[in-house]
Amino acid sequence: MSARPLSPAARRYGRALHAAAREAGALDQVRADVGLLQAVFADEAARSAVSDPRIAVDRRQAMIEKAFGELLHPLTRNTVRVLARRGRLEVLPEVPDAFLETDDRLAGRVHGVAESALPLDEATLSDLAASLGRRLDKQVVLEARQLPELIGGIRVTLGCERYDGSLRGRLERLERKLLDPSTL
Amino acid sequence: MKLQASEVTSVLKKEIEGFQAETSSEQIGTVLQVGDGVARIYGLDHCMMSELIEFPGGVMGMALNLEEDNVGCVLLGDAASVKEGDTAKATGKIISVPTGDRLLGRVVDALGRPLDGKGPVGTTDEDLRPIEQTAPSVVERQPVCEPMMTGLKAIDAMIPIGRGQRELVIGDRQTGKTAIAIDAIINQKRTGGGDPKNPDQVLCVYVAVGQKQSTVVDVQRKLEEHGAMPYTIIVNASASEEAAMQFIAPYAGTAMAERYRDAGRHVLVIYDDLTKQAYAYRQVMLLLRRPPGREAYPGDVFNLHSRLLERSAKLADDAAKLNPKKYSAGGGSITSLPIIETQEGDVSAYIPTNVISITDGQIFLEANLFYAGVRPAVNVGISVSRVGGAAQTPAMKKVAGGLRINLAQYRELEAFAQFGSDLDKSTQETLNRGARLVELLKQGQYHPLRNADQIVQIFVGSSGLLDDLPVEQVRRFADEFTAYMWDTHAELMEKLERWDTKWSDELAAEVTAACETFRQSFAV
Repeated sequence: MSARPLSPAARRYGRALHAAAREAGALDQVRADVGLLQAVFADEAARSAVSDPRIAVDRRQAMIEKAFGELLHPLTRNTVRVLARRGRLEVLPEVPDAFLETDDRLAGRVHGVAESALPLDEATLSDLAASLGRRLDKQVVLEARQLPELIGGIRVTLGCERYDGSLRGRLERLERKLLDPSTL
Repeated sequence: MKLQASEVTSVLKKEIEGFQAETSSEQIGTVLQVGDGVARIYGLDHCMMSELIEFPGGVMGMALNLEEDNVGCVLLGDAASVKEGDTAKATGKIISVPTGDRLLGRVVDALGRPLDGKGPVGTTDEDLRPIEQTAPSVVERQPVCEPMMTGLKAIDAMIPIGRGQRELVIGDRQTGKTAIAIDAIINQKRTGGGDPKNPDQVLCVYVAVGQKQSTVVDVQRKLEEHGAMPYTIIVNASASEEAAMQFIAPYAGTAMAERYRDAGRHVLVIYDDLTKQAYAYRQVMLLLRRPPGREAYPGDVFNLHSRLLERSAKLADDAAKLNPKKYSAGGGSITSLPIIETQEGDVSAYIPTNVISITDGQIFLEANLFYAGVRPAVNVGISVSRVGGAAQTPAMKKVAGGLRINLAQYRELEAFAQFGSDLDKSTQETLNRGARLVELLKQGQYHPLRNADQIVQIFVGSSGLLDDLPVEQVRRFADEFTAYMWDTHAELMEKLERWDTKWSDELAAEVTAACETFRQSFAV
């Protein structure tokens, strides 16, 4: 889960782009475009360059077209143009996230993070993803992350759902139980 | 919080015995924004309304706004320790408070945590009750039928309150609103000797909202002095606490009272005062960006008070049969005395009119009466009790019947009083009688009277036996006469103490004769 909600406008454009790509049978190309855009806009400078209101809209649009040129699928390029014409270029950096959100939802896929005290090997990770997938009846894609402060065990976060099997979590729950005035 | 080694050991022992690599599943969210005691959280997709939310450092919050992609919640603790980006966890629990006998005699906050320094309350998880409950349904209720005596002549005679009634106490600041409530609590000692185990004892909950800490300490001390604390719970959300605590305190107090109501006991709840609760609610709602309405209150401020006061009710005798899950015995009741503070006597402001329309009557207190020495400063002309008459004891009903009219006539003629001897005889008589009745209804604070005392005093006043007494001697006469009655006519007084005694001509003759005998020995 990203730490911030997407703006409703970005969500709409993302959904619309996904629908257009689906109809045109160009999902794979657009998905590639979106991956590229996401990678570019991960950079703060790139983000502020397209959303800076002090730069005229057509200059910003020209800048984007020049940077990506013919790399983008016509549908993606059109999305940029529509955003520019409506004066909403500032939502462009969020459109890839919104597109992928729709993509995941339609594919029944959930992205999540598996945190563990010791590094997880590939097999364990895919086992974990498969068992969670069976439980949720969804395709689970996990990213492994090492977090020594968990002391032991694994903690998986999927969206706003957290499955805590870590030692740290158990200790915290025990602490809460001990300090709870109603158990005294 | 003090931890005791043996308790820690027992918790750890259970933990060790039950150890397995269990996984907990929880809902999490990220704090987007925090400030002024409210927080917005992204995530928590399955959050419930009024669910408790936990922040790092043990700070709790309550979800109030469930929006498309964020949850607005109020913080019920130190807001300074919550930062943007913190992880918030949904606890899956609706906000609840401990209830039960262990709370009696204690001062607790709106979450039931002790404030009086007498150590942990010691309730268990089974004692927890959600603070928001639905009110009893129509079939689970019955009309009020038993009196809830305040011990104040002016109220018990003319504005009688029944068990299960909601009677508003309204007036400007410094007109004795709290005093009436405290006297009513003290007077409940007579119902069961002040022993909370006695099933006849009316239990009391005093909810202080937005009051000065010093006032609450004062109330506690006075109740202790008069032996009223053993059957009373004080829920305190003082002016210095978060607005959220002030707004949930009345619901918490009611949840504590409901436990007794549902077990067939009688409870008196004082909300002191609902104006401040409405202020706190307005603050929280404006910070959560709910649209403001009249006087900047949110649109549901009427419901804020109506859903609270609907929970005061007299349950049907067979309530336990109708709904065995909720009620363990029928016939219980919650009587509530909500207090509203007006500005410059303006009862047509938003909150006063709302609460007047919700309650079953109001006791009006007036500043000019208060300063003229009429205390309690009840304006009997515009104070009413819409349902309490049915619960008044028959003897009191009979004796006090003419009182309201006598006083109304007196007030109408009062302006002529300055003409003195120029008035005709009947006008003079009305004025004479009225002045004595007003004097008779004055009563000192912390001196609630028994039913019998009130009946004989009001009888001698309204039957004209005091008309030849100087006005300033009326109160002394009444007090000494009641003492005399208990000395010489104890049997009659005991009879009048009983609720079912009917007033008869024989009783009237006996009291009149006693009064005339006493009059001869009374030195003016």
